[in-house]
Order: sequence, then C-alpha cells, then structure tokens
Amino acid sequence: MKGKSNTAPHTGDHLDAEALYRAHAEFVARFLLRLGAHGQDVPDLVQEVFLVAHRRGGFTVGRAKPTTWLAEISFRVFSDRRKKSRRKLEDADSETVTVAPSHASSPSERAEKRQALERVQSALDALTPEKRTVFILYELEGESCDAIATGLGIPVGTVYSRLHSARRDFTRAHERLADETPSASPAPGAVAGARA
Amino acid sequence: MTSDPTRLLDDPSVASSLRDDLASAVQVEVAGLDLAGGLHTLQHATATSTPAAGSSLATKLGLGAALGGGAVVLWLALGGDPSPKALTPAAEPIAAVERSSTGVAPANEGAGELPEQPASARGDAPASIPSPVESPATVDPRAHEDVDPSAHEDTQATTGSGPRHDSSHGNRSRHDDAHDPPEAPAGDDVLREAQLVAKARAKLGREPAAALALAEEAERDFPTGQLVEERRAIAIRALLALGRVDEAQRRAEPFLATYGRGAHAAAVRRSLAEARPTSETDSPRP
Repeated sequence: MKGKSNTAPHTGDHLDAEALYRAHAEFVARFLLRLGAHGQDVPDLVQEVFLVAHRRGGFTVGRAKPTTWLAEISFRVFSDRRKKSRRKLEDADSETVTVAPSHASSPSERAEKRQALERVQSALDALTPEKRTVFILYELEGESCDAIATGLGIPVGTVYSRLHSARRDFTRAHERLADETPSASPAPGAVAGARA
Repeated sequence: MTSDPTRLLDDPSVASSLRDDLASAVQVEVAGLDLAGGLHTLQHATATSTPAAGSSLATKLGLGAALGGGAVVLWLALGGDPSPKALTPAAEPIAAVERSSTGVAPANEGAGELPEQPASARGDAPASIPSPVESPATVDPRAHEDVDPSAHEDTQATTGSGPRHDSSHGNRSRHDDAHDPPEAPAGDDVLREAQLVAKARAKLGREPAAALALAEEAERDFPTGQLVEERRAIAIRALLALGRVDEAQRRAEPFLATYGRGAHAAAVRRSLAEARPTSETDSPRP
C-alpha cells in the first residue's frame, strides 16, 4: 500500500511528506547527527520527523525553505527523544548511521578527515541545542540567516545573536580540542571572533 | 536588511585549522541510512494517517510515532491541559510554531518572546525534568503541540495498554477479524504494530533472538497488519544472525516470491548471501 496523503502530493508549491523524504532525508539525518543524535537512533528519528511533516500537511512554498522547516521539526523531535533516551538505552541498535568523509583519497587522508569530523562534532556538543541548530544550518549547511529565521520561527536578530554566541563558543571549544590533537593546531591569535 | 556575516569557512582571518576542519565537516555523506526502507515505512505510516489536525487517528498515529507512543497519550488520558495558559514559556523548544489548532502557524508568531530553553527544558538536567511517563501532568505540551486536544477520548482507549503491546492482545484481537471495519480502531493497532516492529528492528543488530521474538509476536498478533513485509524481513535476518540458515531460507523463498521487489528484499538477499558460505552445519548459536 503506497502512502498517498490527502493533500496534493507534489505540486509546484507543495511537497508532501514522501516528496520531502526523497529530497531531504539525508539532510535530516545529517542534521540530527550533528545535533548529537546517536547513529542508532537516527533512522527512527528521521521517520518521526517526516511523520510530523505529514501531519502538518506537508511543506508549502512561501513560509520557509524545506530544509530549515524540516530542521525545526527535527529539533523538536530530537529534543523530545533526548528527554527519554536515558531510559531507552537498552533499545540501542548496532545498525548505526554516521557521517563520513565524502572525499578522501587515501587511508591516511580518511583518518585525518575523521579526526576533523570528531573535533567539529565535539565542538558542536559544547553549544546549547539552540545555538548548535543555528550554527549547523549557517556554517555547515550554508543556509542564510533569513531562511533560518523563517524556518525556526524566530526573528532574524535572534539568529544573528545565537550565531554570534555559537561562533564564540565553537571557536573556543575547537581551540581546546585542536590543542589536544596536534594535527590541527590553530595559529595563535588567529581565531576569528564572531561577526554576526 | 542586514547582510549575513562571512562564514567561518570562507573567512581568511579564521585559523586555518578551524577552516580545514569545517571544510571536512561540510563535505560529508550520510552512511548507513536505509533510504528505501525508510521511505517504505513512511509510506505505510502516511497511508493510514491523515495530514494536519482534525483527525484523532492521525493525531494518535503521528504523535505516537513521534513520541514513542507513551508520554502524551498518558498525559492526555490523565487530563493534561493543552490550552495555552497551561504552557510553560521556558519549556518552549525553539519557537512558537504551530500554536494554532490547525497545526500550522505564521512563521514568526510569538517568536520575539522566546528565550532559549533552560538546561532543564533541554533535557540536560534530568533531575528537574520528571519522566513524562512517570509524571504525565508535568509533560510540556508544547513539545508535543501537534496533538489534537479532541483526541482525548479516543486516546483514552489506548492508555490501558500504554506504549507496550503486552497487555493489548485482548483488545486488538477483535480487529483481526476481516469483517471489522478498518477505520478508527485500526489506528491503535497500527500504532502498536509499528512500535513492535520498530523494537524488533532496533534489536536486530545486537539481540537477534529478541528481534526474532518480537517479529514473531507481531506476526502472531497482527496477522493482517500494515508491516508484514518488514517484520518478516526482520525475522529472516534474525534467523540468519542466529545461524539458523535453513529455516531462514525456507522463509525467504515465499518472502522473496511475494516481496521480491520490495524495500526489504535487497537486505534479505544480502543477508542470505553472507550466510551461505558458512551455512553447512546450520547449527543454532547458543
């Protein structure tokens, strides 16, 4: 039985949950992982995100971008799961979803990139979820501040404020981590301040 | 209109090590996500769920799926107040989206009033966040605002069994009759079946025996359910993981004959192929 929603499935200005999934499932999975979701939880979380999208009637062009709209749903779903996760650890699955370097020509390069990913993730983990969300969408996903504001339903000034603070916290955390792993020592005094 | 700041990745004044790491973090791919299987599951779920608010079935299905089934169902059953006055501003996740009863709200509605969550509301401080199941009256309804308050009465029917299926067999069996109309009552079954299959899927990697037991339970309890294909695939893969290759192959033949072009066929074939070289003895693992 194929899931046909009661709304227009995929028209010029509307995307149903299935169309959203086809186009943005990887984005949602990546976003959830960067938010801090465990890899084994990601498949279920992704499902939940798109079920919520379905119940909201799908995405209609004009309110936000699909990605930032889904990011807002993902944040909610992730936050809710986090509250329960301490009691659900026994449900952990070994089929883990991860982010992996997409361009690595040699094993050593792959290892370096993995270290870089770990440092970035650890620095992200130092941010509050709200700041992390804005940082991920802006710095890693390349969304504009306006799109983030619309998708999350917050003023663009709040996005700038969170981004400013997130950059500061991220940079500090990354400095500490880079000091611990010599392969990525930052140049002293060369750390940028936030300009948001 | 304020222009966006230069991204750290593109800012030459930023430490090169930071930019290098960010560049690596941008160029990633997601590994291990079964997109086809996920789409298949989503299609099943959305086929029995109505989009937007207004349908108690849709509300129960979607909400149950989103929240693992238990917290809000119990909260509603115990008289949780979904009205705005009962909501705690500090517990708002990100922004006041979807406050309207339609489930869709203007993007910036009330946004200026929204501070970041305190640690307790973010789940960082479990001691100050009672478990939603254990203390349903304290559950933040805005975290679950897709709930339709009108679903209260319908939802009460599900709270006797809660999110677990164990005690629900008696209620559910009446839906197994082919003569029953597949409307409202089927929603509870679909939710419970989905929870059971999700649990089986989660156990598959490390506890194949448990996964098999759960898949068999779903087979027994929901013989005409919505997720027959997935639970049978899980059972076959669990059998293979347990070393019961012959039995898995016996089940795989009709499975592949029926669902050979389905979303789970590739995983089943792959598991079979991996198991065959070592399947001579076919002795079950202890």
